[in-house]
Amino acid sequence: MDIRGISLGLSDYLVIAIYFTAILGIGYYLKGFTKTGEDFFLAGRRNSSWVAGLAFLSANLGALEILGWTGATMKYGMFVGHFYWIGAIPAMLFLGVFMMPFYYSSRIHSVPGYLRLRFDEKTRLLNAFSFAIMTLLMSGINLYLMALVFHVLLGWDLHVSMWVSALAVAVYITLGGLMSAIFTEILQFFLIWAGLFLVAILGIAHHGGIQNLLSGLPDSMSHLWATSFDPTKNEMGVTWAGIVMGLGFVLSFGYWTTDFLVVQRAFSAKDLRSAMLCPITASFFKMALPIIVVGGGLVAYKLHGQGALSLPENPLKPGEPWNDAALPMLIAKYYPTGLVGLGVTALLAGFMAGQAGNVSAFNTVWTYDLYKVLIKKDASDSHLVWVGRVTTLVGILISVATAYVAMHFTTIMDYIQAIFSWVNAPLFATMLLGMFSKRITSAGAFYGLLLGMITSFSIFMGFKLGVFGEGVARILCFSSNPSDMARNLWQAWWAFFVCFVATAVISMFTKPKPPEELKGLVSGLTERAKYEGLSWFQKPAPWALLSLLVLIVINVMFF
Amino acid sequence: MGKTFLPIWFFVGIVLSTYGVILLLTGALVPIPPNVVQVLDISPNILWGLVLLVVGVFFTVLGYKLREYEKEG
Repeated sequence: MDIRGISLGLSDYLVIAIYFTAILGIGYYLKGFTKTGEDFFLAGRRNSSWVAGLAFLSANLGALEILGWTGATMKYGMFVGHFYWIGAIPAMLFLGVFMMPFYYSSRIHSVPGYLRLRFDEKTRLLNAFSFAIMTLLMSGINLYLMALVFHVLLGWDLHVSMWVSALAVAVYITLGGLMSAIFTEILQFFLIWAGLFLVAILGIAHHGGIQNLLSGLPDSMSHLWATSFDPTKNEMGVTWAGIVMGLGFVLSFGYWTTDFLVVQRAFSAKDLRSAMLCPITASFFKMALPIIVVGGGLVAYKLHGQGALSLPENPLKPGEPWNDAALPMLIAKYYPTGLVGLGVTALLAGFMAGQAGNVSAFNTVWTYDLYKVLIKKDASDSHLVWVGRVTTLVGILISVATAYVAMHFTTIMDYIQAIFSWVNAPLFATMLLGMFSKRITSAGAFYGLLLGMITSFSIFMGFKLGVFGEGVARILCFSSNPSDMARNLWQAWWAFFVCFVATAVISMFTKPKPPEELKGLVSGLTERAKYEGLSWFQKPAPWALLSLLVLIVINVMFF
Repeated sequence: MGKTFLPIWFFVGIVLSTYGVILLLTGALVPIPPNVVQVLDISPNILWGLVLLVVGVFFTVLGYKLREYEKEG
């Protein structure tokens, strides 16, 4: 079976072939500019805020995310918009305006590198190990799911899809390092808009515009907040408090401000102002994505309800329709040959850029935070570049191996996908306290982070193994009828809370570092960014305020 | 003068322009199959091909103008 029940046409294959030629050619071209460690791991720190900003967003913009949230819109309606708006924008702006000066000024290569400077080696190692494992496992899962999507929708062989895309990524990252990753991520950004924007617009136009599309939907599907005061009134089963505290605060800030996969792109900026503008620039494009995701999902929901859109059977849950296939099925409905190829290429580019992001972040953390610390402390710059290239190949092989494990043991994916909230939610508390208080100690940070991770892991496993029942869920979620989504959001909150309290309490009883060791790392001991000779519109803060204003307007419009 | 570093905008421009041309040619030569819902009066391949061509040429020129020269060694 393929997208339309017929094969892709010649021009569709041509579009896909041009994409592969372009990314491999870009990798080969950039090899000539990749000589030092700074070139390979930080893209030479030469990028403008536009380049770094679009790459920052693209590193987060995987095809699985787009397919998954479009499918989720068919179930949760407009509530999915929260993951793009309140669940992203405040955190991105906070990172740009408040946290980036500490990250960028310390000239580190990675987020674990900051933990080493601010706290100590063991906190760095705890985060580096957990991040490296999480990144590779996630990369493997994504690889398998990508192959599965193309297998079910286009009939492509699972093994060929996995190996071809993995090898292409291996080649261009090994050649050009982070610069290759960033170039292909930006290309992917344009391809996603070029390949997927039109299908949402055609779908919305087919239904007579946005107002007409929304008017026939129930309140729970067509409003952002109106049904969030009672969890039984919305399909997600959450309250506004769960959205704001769990998603808008902990999960979102935990991801956008500490996940090295995205933050690494900002480190590649040419100066502090560009680094600060990087997530702010990205925030505007992030806010626009629901046009594709929520717009496409609502169109699919309406068509499906009218019997005008059929979905294939979910390969992971036999007997259930596969909502994640909604966007490709819309492509089949509205796109002729040629545009179908562009739509498929957009998805392919999204998968591969996501994998490239994972691998480039992994090779940096492995090389600087694990290899250089534990194996060869006196490694030269050229040796580290060599290690980075070898690590890329090894990382890709581990990803492929993980993909094969996932193929045979599909239930393992639930566990791997949960790792994110075990690692990032508590880390945000460590970073927040560490950046804004001189009093936080290394012991407080390490044990607080460890306790936070254990909390999140325990809650997840407690429910998974049936140790915790509905009673515990009701207490943890402050709700009489908590959904799975509510449990995920509040699990992140509790991990953050435990880490925050434990870090603060342990710090009160242990000795902090002297202020001279914290210069450039903590608020009050770091020089503020200077913008001499720049107009107001060249400074980060006004753009952050404008982004916040747009966010408020969107939330009011769709309240 | 050393190697010329072409920014990403140049490559984005080349790829989008090429796609624009392919879509325009496909739109002109290949009829739309009956199972595809036609929302617009114009073929979506031709409309989107034109958009991509214009955007692609813009980025190609922009990228070429922003090229940098890198010293050897």
